[in-house]
Amino acid sequence: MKEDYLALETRKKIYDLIANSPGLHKRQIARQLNMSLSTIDYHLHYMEKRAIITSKQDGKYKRYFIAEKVSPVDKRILSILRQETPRKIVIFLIENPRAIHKEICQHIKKAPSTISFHLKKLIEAGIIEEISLGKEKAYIVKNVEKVVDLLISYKSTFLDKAVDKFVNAWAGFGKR
Amino acid sequence: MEELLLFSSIVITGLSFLLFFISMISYIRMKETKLFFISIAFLIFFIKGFVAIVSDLTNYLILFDLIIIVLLYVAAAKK
Repeated sequence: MKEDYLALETRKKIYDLIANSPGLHKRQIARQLNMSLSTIDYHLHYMEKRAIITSKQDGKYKRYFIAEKVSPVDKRILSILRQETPRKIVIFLIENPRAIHKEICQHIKKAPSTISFHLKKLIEAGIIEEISLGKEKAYIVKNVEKVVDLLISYKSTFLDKAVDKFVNAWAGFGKR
Repeated sequence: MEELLLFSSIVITGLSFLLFFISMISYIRMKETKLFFISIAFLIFFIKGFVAIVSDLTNYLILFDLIIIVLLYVAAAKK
């Protein structure tokens, strides 16, 4: 599972570079990110196969672009993953499947009511699911591959940070 | 003194609009009813500020406060 997250970071770097400079070819991407051609090749192939990016043959170069095909379900998942706290929870659960509420609170460093609020939203959106682990309730990411793919394409903006702070401030409102 | 009151009303109205905007985006993204009530409370706050600036209906402003407090109570009581 740790490998998933390491690959996610590399793919996100490649994705962001292509988003900022569409039409780059493999060698340019490798040069700009200071990565080996084989690594770039592997991740480009992975993202192209999953329709995260597309390519166009231009003479002897194959140029890469962002594929703008996001389904309504994926848009709903992305709108939640754009917020910092749910995103941190999901990444923590990818790295630590079957983590319990207490472990998530300790890692994310937010109030238990805030974590409960976000866990409920993530369950409703079908991103994670709750499983019984003896007396405790544990959480796992339902479709790790899909969530990792979506995490590659999220873009954090100033508004996302403002919304995140607002939701965290009001999430526990009225809870005892 | 009147200028200070007008300035305060404009700042409050501007900030309440900003909070309404952020809370409405939060509601759209999180689909949480509690956030909907909070965003409406900020909208009423904004309308109250606007009314206070442009009209003389100061006696009726307490009605806006009543709506705001009810909305915040509903948001807090919402499970």
